[in-house]
Amino acid sequence: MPSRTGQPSAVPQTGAAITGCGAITGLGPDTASFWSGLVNGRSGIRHWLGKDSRIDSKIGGDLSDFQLSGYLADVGQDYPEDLAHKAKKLLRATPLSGVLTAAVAMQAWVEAGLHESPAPAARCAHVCAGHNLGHAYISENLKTFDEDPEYIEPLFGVHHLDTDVVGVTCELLGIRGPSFMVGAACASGNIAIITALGLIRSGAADVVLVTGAPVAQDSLVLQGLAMIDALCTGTFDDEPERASRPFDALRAGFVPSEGGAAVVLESAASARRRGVAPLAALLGGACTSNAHRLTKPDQNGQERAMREALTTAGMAPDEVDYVNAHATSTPLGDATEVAAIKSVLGARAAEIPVNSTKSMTGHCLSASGVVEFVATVLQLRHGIVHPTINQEKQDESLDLDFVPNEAREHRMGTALSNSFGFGGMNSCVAVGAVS
Amino acid sequence: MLTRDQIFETLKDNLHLISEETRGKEISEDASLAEYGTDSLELIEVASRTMKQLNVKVPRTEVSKIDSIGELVTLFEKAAHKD
Repeated sequence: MPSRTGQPSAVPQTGAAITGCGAITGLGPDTASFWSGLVNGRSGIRHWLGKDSRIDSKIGGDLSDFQLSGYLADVGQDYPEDLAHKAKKLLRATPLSGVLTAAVAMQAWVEAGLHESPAPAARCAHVCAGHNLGHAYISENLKTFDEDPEYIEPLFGVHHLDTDVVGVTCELLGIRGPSFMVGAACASGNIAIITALGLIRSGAADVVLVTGAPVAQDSLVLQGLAMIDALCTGTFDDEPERASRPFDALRAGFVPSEGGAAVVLESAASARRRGVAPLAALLGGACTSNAHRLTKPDQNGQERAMREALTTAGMAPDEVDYVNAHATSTPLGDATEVAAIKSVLGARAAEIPVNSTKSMTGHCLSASGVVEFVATVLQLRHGIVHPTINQEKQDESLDLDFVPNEAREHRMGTALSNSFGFGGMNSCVAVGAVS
Repeated sequence: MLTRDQIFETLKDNLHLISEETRGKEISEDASLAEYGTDSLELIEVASRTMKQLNVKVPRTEVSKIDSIGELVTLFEKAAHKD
């Protein structure tokens, strides 16, 4: 059982070692810049590049100008030459989501030392969190199709499939065990992590790469989200960095983002065999359904996910040292989650920090669970909680410690990370520090 | 009128661009694409790109049957002259 506040524990038999992390967000192209941005309270939100000017959504975590060749030139020394070369060749004609997924996967793979001290390829799995990744690519090709069907992208038949992202990453890293996608809207990331833990616990794999595939944002989808009043539009269009403001009284909807992340999970025995020290431990996780298709959050479903996650991790509520909230910056969503956290953690809720990574990254949608999992691991390791930025006008009804605007030291033994999705999907994972 | 040489040169440029294995190699009309290590998906990309650049439409079912660059040039030549 994990120990309390700041006392590290080992990777439990029922959990998994976290041995590698990767992230590319509006805060930067790797985990170092991600952490630096988080701890300094920097916003990764800016004006969209190249979106249809008629849509209501004007701002987001735009990564559409990401160039693989420039990225590999910048970080090339961090990768074995053959891996960087293979990436360049494989990803040449790949749509943005696949390129970014492969790039974050490489980061996590190399940090886990799998390029130097490999695990058997058939014992390595890949669970990719996400779905509807290719909307922007499909929309672009539809325009070409309208002019002349003959001239759509020649490999559209392969690249329009979400599974192309899984396939290209497996080919790049030589993963030959189970590989598939997990789709659960904005809960996809956590549920992919929970699924990966299941693969390790069942013995189906020793090492599981979990990717939160960045969603290349599409004008059509953005307009659809704006029309159901989910997005922050208008108010902060001239000050994009102020738009994502979870818990704040002026919050007015989420700010979509193209960021993504990856983690390597593995059995404690596999990490030992390979001589790799875990960064942290995945202790458990759970997901629930609201039995409700619409977007309205459900406190009961969120509470059940958190309670069951604690049970799977063998933790009591008063053993939670920190919560990375789903906290998207929507008026109802944030209030519902705060009520759920208070109900589950009781008096403990008032004693611990509860922050929102999305205040800086924006909402990475189906990748957000993995992005925030990486943020949680980094905070546990550094003993620092990042701020929730843009806390300017307190919402009197929300009274937890949201770590307003400034990072601070906070020793943690354990943490929870929440992710909830449209379609009534709730999820929570528990993470522990290790010595 | 599009000449055979123009078609060959365009195809060759696209082959070098798309199929990494062919870079730096002399491309001859007689050699088979398999010899250069060009796979079937790369061939589709080369043909599509060339079709767009030359504004010539070649039946895609025929593209998948070709073996050498020369056969591909002939396919484009026939289609260009038919237009």
